[in-house]
Amino acid sequence: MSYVAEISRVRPSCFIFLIDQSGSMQEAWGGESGKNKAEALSTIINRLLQNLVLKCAKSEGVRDYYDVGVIGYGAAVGPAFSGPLSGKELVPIGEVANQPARVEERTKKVDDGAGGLIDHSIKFPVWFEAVANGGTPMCQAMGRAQSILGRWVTEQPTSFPPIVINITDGQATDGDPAAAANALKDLKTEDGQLLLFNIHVSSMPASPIEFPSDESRLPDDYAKHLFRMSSPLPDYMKTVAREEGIPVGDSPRGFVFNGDMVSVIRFLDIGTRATSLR
Amino acid sequence: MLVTLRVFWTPKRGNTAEEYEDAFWPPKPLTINSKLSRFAVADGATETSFAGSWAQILTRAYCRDQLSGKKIRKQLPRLREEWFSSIETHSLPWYAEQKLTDGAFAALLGLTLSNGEWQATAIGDSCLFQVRGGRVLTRFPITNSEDFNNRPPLLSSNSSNWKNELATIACARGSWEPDDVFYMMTDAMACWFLRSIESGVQPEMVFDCDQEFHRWIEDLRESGMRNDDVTLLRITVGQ
Repeated sequence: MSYVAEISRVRPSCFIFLIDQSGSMQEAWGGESGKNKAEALSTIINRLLQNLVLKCAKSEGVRDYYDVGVIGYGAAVGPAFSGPLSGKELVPIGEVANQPARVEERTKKVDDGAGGLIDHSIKFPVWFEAVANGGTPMCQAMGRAQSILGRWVTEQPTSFPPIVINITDGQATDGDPAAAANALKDLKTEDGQLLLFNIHVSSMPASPIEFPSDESRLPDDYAKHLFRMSSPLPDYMKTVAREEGIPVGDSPRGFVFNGDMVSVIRFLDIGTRATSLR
Repeated sequence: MLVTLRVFWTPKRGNTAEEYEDAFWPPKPLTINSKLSRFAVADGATETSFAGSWAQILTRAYCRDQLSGKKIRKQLPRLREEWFSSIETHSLPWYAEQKLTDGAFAALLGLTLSNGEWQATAIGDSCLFQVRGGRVLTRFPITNSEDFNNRPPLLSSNSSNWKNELATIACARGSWEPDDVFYMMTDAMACWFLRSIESGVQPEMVFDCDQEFHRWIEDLRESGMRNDDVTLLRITVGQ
């Protein structure tokens, strides 16, 4: 059986986010008017990290269930955290939690328990700013992830395998990333092969598509190519997706078009979840 | 009615005793002669913060008869306040503040024994088993090991969830005879116990000491029981 390893502080898992910081990310995003793709991407990655931290946060602090890295690719390929974590390749989630570049105050509408909504002030941590500069060396970025995670899987041979989430507009400028993606997916622990998921941040004004089972509804060739590069969702993720009300087919892949993939964080299994929490 | 309670608990393997987030009440083993006795176990949800203290507040409240019938709606706001005031909220980091807003969540199971009768109340997947002469007479609220999952109904400290949560309360009642044994246990062990029964094995659960219990749990985990906090209350009734 694959993808059943318990995730714990002794046997942590690992997330690497690959983020497209190329010049084409200056173009308008199709998902929400008024934003460019780079801004959409920074919101997505900040929300993913925020939710991953919250997943691991307990009364006494944040438990190091994951090692986390972020690799930016644009004018250069390398670690992309802003703030105190700048330059770091892979850090425990506890360090991510405690060292954002800054924490913004935002207002959110919440249920007041009596059928109404009230404004509630929440803190929104920011680890990344929008960047759009240079080409799209996606193959190099995947190679970099392969090098980091090649070491990681030898150090953690029994852990739940790493998950790589690539957030991009799909227009690689250093060749076809399919080969690099396959090499990355060949990495494995005893619990299964590395999972490569892709988020396509497109200029095309179209509704989000989450975890499709085939490419027929995908609107362009970039989306289709990224879909083919994406790992199938393991069975347990498929089950949780359905429990969460996400309509997935028989063979969904870890691909999202113009969405944020925050639901993937909810798929992660570290114990009893509260159904009311989102 | 003579009631004897033995309590066994252990944190999830890899966690410290301080990180144990189940709870039970009464807090110590006892033997009493009483017309009415109450017992409770609760299981704080892993993904929520400050769940251990919420679980403890709920078990204590049940045993003080604050959570039966219509009382629960009146008492929950007070219990939430008690929970909130138990947390040091000054200068919390951003994630702890968010978790505090989301609230703590716990499964709760309560058992009331009176003259020849029992009543039980449950929200979630902590389970009660009544055993007579080596046979399991009652399984409550879950009756099949396949029905356990990671999303049980839970009782939260967050008032916006109460309406839905209270709709999931399960109740049961029955009678007891002298020498009946009631087991109350949190989910990982309850799932294992049900699987054993389903495979035709009725486990004996008598332990001379805590160490014996801990060794037994480690063996069960090695052979596939889910690694989680474990709590077992063994209640024997006599005339």
